[in-house]
Amino acid sequence: MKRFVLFCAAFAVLVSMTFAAEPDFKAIMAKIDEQTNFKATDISAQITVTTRKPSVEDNVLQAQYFRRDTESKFLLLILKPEINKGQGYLKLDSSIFFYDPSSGKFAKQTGSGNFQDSNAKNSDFQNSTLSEDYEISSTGTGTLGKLETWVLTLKGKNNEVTYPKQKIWIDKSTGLLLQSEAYSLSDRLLRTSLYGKYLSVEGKYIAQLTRIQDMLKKDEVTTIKIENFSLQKLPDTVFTQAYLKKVNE
Amino acid sequence: MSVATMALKNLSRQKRRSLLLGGAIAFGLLVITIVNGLSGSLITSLEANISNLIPGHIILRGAEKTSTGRVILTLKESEVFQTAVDKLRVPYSYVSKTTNVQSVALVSDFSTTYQSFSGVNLGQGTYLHDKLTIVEGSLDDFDTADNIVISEGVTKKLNVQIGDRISVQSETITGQQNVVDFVLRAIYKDPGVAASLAGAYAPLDRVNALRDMKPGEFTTFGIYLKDVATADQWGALLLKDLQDKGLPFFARGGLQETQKQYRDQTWTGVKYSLYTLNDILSFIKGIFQTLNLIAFLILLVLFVVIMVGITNTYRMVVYERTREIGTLRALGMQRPEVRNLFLYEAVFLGLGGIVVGFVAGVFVLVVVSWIDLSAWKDFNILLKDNHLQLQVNLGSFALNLIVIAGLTALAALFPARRAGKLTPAEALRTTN
Repeated sequence: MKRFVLFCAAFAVLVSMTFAAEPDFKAIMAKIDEQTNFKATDISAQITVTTRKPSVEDNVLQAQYFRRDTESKFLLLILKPEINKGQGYLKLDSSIFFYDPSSGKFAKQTGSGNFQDSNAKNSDFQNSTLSEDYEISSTGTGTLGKLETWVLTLKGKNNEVTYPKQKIWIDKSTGLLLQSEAYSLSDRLLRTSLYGKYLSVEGKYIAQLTRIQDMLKKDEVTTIKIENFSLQKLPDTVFTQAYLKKVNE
Repeated sequence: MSVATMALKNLSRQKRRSLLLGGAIAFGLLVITIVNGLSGSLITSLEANISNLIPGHIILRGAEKTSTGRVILTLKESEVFQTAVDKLRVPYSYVSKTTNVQSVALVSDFSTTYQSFSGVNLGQGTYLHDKLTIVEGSLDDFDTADNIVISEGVTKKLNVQIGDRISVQSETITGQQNVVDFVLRAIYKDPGVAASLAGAYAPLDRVNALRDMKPGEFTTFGIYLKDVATADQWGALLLKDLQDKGLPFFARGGLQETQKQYRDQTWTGVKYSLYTLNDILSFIKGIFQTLNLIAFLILLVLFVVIMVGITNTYRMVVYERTREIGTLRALGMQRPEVRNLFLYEAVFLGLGGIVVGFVAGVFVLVVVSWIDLSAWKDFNILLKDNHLQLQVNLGSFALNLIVIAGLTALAALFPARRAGKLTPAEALRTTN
């Protein structure tokens, strides 16, 4: 009898350990959004987008970046190079508008459109919507350098997400996104992105460095560097088409 | 001797003066004949060459707008269009169903370039099969596999050869990223500056797969007319017929205008748009029309100067021939006849200048049309078989003829009237 009780106790511990070891991956994915989205305030920063392509000089672009995650808006105002100065990207609801001061006109773009001549997509500058856009199709573990990671394979919940399939590596200790692979509808690996130098501000995180390696166009790499980060509340007028026109006057 | 014959004889009496005045008129007409001829030639070649590269002379498209504001270009059936075309007896040589993508990335092992991309039927007897000038490879059995045809310029940029793989990256109609591999099957003659308009071609169903469209769907119903010049006329009739059938259409306009309507309007179901070749070429045609207008304005300025010269010359002529006028009047010539004598002289001078200028202009155009411009690769969209087409606009010539003859007569009118008013006694008394 004593042996039976001991066996049952051991079995119960084992079962509970097994279940305890299986984390809630939905919650892990939601935590990525939760940790990187600034719901209580606005964000402003300066970004530098550097694109390296074979046989051409590096293309370096600087922009002022404003983001309001509560309304899923952002505005990017290009400062350098001179030829692109004043051009802007404004995301309102699900639409992204590109403003060109030389024509004075706005053109509608999609999130999956390329940002300028880089390997970044317009959607790379919006707040994280992983748990909203994707469902988990498989899970696993792995290592990235010395870091232990959860590896999740994600499938788009609808046919409007930029990448129908993504594979993401999440730091087990912090719950932050470290790497992602983006696949085409035909299941071709299109790009690998690395997220690093996370800055912690008021319990939230922002990757100060993102490196996007294009896997289709050989040797094309884009890095996005975020600097001069600020959490000051921005006027509502910043996220308007009128603002982009006004700063160009 | 009639007044007209006398006028002709008078012109030959002052050969040098007549040559200089007539030469000035001829030069003006030479310039405008060349400008009109060249712009007409360029427009004609452009129309002919571009109509080979776009999905039709009359183009019908359908668009749906999703709840998220995304515009999806799609047509699922073409029966209603075909019925309208047949009912109106539109004189066409071919109709096409194509899927067109404004910009895709063509990626080879060495390079990437961005082009427009069209899913087409390139089988025997199709319009494009007959019109594309293949310089390498073949279009035989093109529609049966993952084949792609690109221009010479793009081939060079991608550094590829026949049989090489080219990956095509694009968004699906709902905005997802997608990639499909193709094999380079044929290379067509480079259309130069219009290369971006021409783009790459692949079988319809493979492009549909890239765009995540079902087999058999398409984005564009194109009609290639027997006479390109009638595109606007048939386009208007077709639009009216389809609207009468209850099909909703966007207001007619160019491609940019329709894009604006896509952005600004909200609708449910499929809403259609109709363009013609002229809508696509309106900007380029506008440039040539402006060029013609500028040439005509320069000609007018030139003729104002020439008119002043003619007026002064004829004042001098009347002064020199005052005694002669007196003699003619004394012999019984009436005042209107004296006036007409000078007017005839001026008009004959003008007509002579016009004819000489026109003939010289045509001669220059003929010589230019003989020059082989095959080295002018970037602009071969403006050429026919590597040559400028000889284009003589007789309508413009007739207009110039009337305007210049009228202006010359007007310039000589004042001195001619003065000559007519002279009394025989007064004229005979002068000592010139």
